[in-house]
Formats: sequence, C-alpha cells, structure tokens
Amino acid sequence: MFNGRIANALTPTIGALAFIFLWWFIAWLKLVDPILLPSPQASAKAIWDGFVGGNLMKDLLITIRRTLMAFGIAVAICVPLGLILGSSVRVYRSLEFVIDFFRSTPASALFPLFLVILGVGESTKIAVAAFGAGLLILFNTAYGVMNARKTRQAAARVMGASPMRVMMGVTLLESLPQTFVGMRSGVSFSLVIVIVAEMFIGSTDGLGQRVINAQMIFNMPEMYATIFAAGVLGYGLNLIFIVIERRFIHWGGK
Amino acid sequence: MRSINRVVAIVALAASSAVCTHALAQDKVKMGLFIASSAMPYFIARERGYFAAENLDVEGIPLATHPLIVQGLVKGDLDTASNLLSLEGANINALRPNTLQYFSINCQNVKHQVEAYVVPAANTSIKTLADLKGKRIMSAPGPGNLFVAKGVLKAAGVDEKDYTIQEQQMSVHIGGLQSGQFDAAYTLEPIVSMMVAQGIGRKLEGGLIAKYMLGRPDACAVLAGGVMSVKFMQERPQVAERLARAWAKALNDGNNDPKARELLTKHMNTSAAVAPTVPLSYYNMVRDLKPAEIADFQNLVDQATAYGLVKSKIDVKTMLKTY
Repeated sequence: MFNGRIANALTPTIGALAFIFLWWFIAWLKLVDPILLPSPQASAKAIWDGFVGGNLMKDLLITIRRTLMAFGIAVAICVPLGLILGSSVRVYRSLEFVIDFFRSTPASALFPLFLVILGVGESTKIAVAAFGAGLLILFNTAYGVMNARKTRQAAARVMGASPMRVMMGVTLLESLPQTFVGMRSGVSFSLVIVIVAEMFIGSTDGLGQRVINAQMIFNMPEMYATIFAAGVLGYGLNLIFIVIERRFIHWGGK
Repeated sequence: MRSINRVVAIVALAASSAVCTHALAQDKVKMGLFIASSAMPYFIARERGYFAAENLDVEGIPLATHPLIVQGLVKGDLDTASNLLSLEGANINALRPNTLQYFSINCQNVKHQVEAYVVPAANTSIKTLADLKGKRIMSAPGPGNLFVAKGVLKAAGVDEKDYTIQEQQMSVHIGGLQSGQFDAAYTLEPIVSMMVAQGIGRKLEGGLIAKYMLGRPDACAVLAGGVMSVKFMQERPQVAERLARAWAKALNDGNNDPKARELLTKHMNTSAAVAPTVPLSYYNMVRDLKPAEIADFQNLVDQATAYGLVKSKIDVKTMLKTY
C-alpha cells in the first residue's frame, strides 16, 4: 500500500523526467548548436541566478498578478452571464454567432482594438486576457446550464421550488462541473495571453517581456529559464483547479 | 565514315548541351529579410535583374525578428541576410566567433536621419531634448532601441531617473502620441515621416545616435547591414563574390536612384505618400568604409557592450568582409 502511494506520487514526474532526459541527450550529442539550444544544466543555472540575484521572482509575481486579475474579471462577468444565457436556449442561440466568432479569433490579434479603446497601459494586457478567458468560461457555463439534467430540475419544481431556487439549488450546481472545465481552460488561456501581451504591447516587466528581451540579445539559457518558469506556473494553476474540482465538485459526472 | 561523323556530332551535341545546362542553372542562395527600408537592396537587385545577371537565384525569406535571422544563419538555413541589426551581429559573434560577417553597412546620421525623437505637433513647450525631463516617453521596441533611446538622452544631459520610458510596438506609436498617452516618442522611419505628414507629430531632432552617442553629426551610426554566414563564404566563395557584386549595384541604385523608392511602397510597408521623401540610411559596401566610420562602428558596439547588450568586447574588424 505504501509502495502504491509512492508510485502514485511519482507517476506525474515520469513525463517531466523523460522530457528533461531527452533535452539533455539532444544537448549532449550537440544535435542542435548549443547557442540555439542550451543544456538543461545551463538553463537550470539561469533559473537559479534569476531567482537568487535577478528579477525572475519579481517578473513571475507580476505575471501571476495580471493573470489572476484577468481571470477574476472573466469569472465575475462570464459565470453569471453564462447562467443567464444557458437558461434560455433562445437567448443563447441568438448570441451564439458572436460568442463563437470571437472564440475562434485569436485574442492576440485583437491587441490593436484593445489598444485603441484602453490605451497602452496595464489595463489593456489584463482586458485582452480577460476577454479571451471570459469567452471560454461563458461558453462552458452556458452549456453546463443547458445540459443540466432536466429530471432533477423537474423534481425540484414538482416539490414547489421557486424558479430562483431551482436555478440556485439545482441548475447552478448541475452546471458547475462544466463551468469548472471552462475556468480551468480560462486560467491557462489568461496566462498565455498575458505573457504574449507582455512580449508585444509595451511592458517593462513580467515573464513575457523577459522572454523577448532574452531572445533579442541571444541569451538562450535565460530565455528557456523564463519559459520553464511560465510552464511551471501554468502547470501549478492547472493543478490548483484540479484539486479544487476534486474537493468541491465531487458530484461531476454522477 | 558517315557513321563515325554521326557519332562525333551526337557526342559534341550532348557535350555542348551539358555545358549549356550547367551555365544556365542558377546558384541558389537563401537570404533572410527583415521587412524594413533597410531591406531595399534585396528588392532592387531582384527586380532589376542584378542577381540574375550574376547567375544567382536568391530566395528572400522574410522573418519577423532579427534573432530568427541569426538562428537561420547559425543553423545553416540561411546563407545571408539583407539587413541584420549590427548589435545582434556583434552579440552572436561574441557568443559564437566566426558566425557571420557584414559585407555591407548602412550608415545613419544627421544627413541620413532614420531615428528621431518626435513630440506631439500641438506641444510647443518641448524645444530641445533637454526639455524631455519629467516626460513620458515611448521607445521603438527591443533592448537595442531602448539602449539607444536612453543613451541619446544621457548624452544630451537628461538622466534616466528624470523621465519614464516604455517600449511600444511601432504600430502603436502614432496612436500613443495622438492620444496624449505619451509626451514624446523615440521612433524610426517611416513612422517619423508619417507622424509629421499627418500633422500628429513634430520631429524634435533626428540623426541622434551619430550626434549624441558618437559625437559627430556626420558619424556613421551602424545599426544594420548585409551579412553572410562564414560557413557560406567558406564553402561557396565564388557564389558569395557574385552575390556581393550584384549587391553593390543595388546599393548604388538605393543611394542614387530616386525611382528605387517605388519599391518601398510595393514591398516594405511604406505608404505612397511618404515613400518619395522618407529618409533612408546610406548604403556602403564594406570596401568603401572609411577608417573613421569603422571606428564609429567600434564605438557604438563598445557602448553596447558596456551597457550589457553585447555579451563581451569584440573587434568589429573581425565582423567585416571586403568584396
């Protein structure tokens, strides 16, 4: 049993270790010029130097702050909106084109539009990320509501529950698993868009700005170190959602 | 006897056709392009047949950033590039000696103003660079541009703590100045000309690097040039020489033929309204550079090294190739 627990704990590390080994092997054989692909050791040293003597922690925290702000805005607006849209198929269908249209448009392509509306400050980076993540959350929440089991809603109505009570006590809970799927995708998407915005729309800090600057001066170990930090951050955010989902949305799929 | 003659004729015909085929087959060359006015020599040489006259098939491959061009040259995917940033070239040669060499150099200075500080047209209180104290400034993107934008102000007596500066993509410079979000822009052509032509901006001063960072208005501020990978030059020396010959003709046209500017609109995202007058850098083959201009190049690279932009000190003469 003890061995089984250890095996379970170690399972997620197998892929990561295999990836690092493959990276190390390619670098060791010098299949790619070391200037273009530094070894994992060189990148690990750049991570260490970045955290200990550099600004990597500061940039990481700034990117986390922007990501969480974008995600928070997206959740605050799009979960209630998704509930409203999902509760009326007719309303959802009337807006389906707009939602799917923007969902299929790369949010980064809309940078110029957001820059025109919000200017070049902090708010643009957060707003673009919130917009992209919000559509994912909206879409999933609405579908969660539309696909809520009708028998449970009907049972609540038969027992005399008011429409609001049915919405809050049954439909909302029924839709939560799907809403969480949207939120998990949304938080990852927020991170990606924030990093792209930091790279391309005037940032003096954040992981994205660090990646592009390292790339411009050909400091590849630092570039990969920052990419690695961004990847770990994304994995961490995803993991937090999985834990929350397992803990609180235990009825999903049952 | 007749059959022998026939055999001789067939052999002669086959031999001559083989020779002709060899002469007609053009040598392929892959050239990285960064789409800006400094890529103009490539389009001149292609459209005016200078490559073809040297029996070259030069494929231009547009790449969005200079590091990608360097990557292509290191990997061997590219043989050459029309316009690579000089500090980018210095950096890769400092990190990996003998990666590439410049065979042409673009000079910018007060006569050939490519970079400038621009302020809103309506603002009459900013008259000199010294008046940028306390202002919000946007800069062309990338560490190289930021280094120059700050270096010019420092040389003009404006300390870094006296202003705020933020990199912005070139596409938002006009909007940033027009909306009043920034008080000034360190920007590049053709954006400078477009701001002025549209009445949005007023050129505060141009040709800044030569005047302020190199100390002479007519200095050669080397920001970009044509490069070849050392591997390409070593493995295909004849092709490299022919490429340089075609390139020299294109540079001459770029410097002296106003009609060449039509290509700016056609290929280099320059509006037709400003193409006839937009300032361009002055193109030189390395063989035409004067010792003082090489010293200017060294001076700029040394300043970039001290700033931390170039990894270690490098002698720019090791980066130059004369054809």
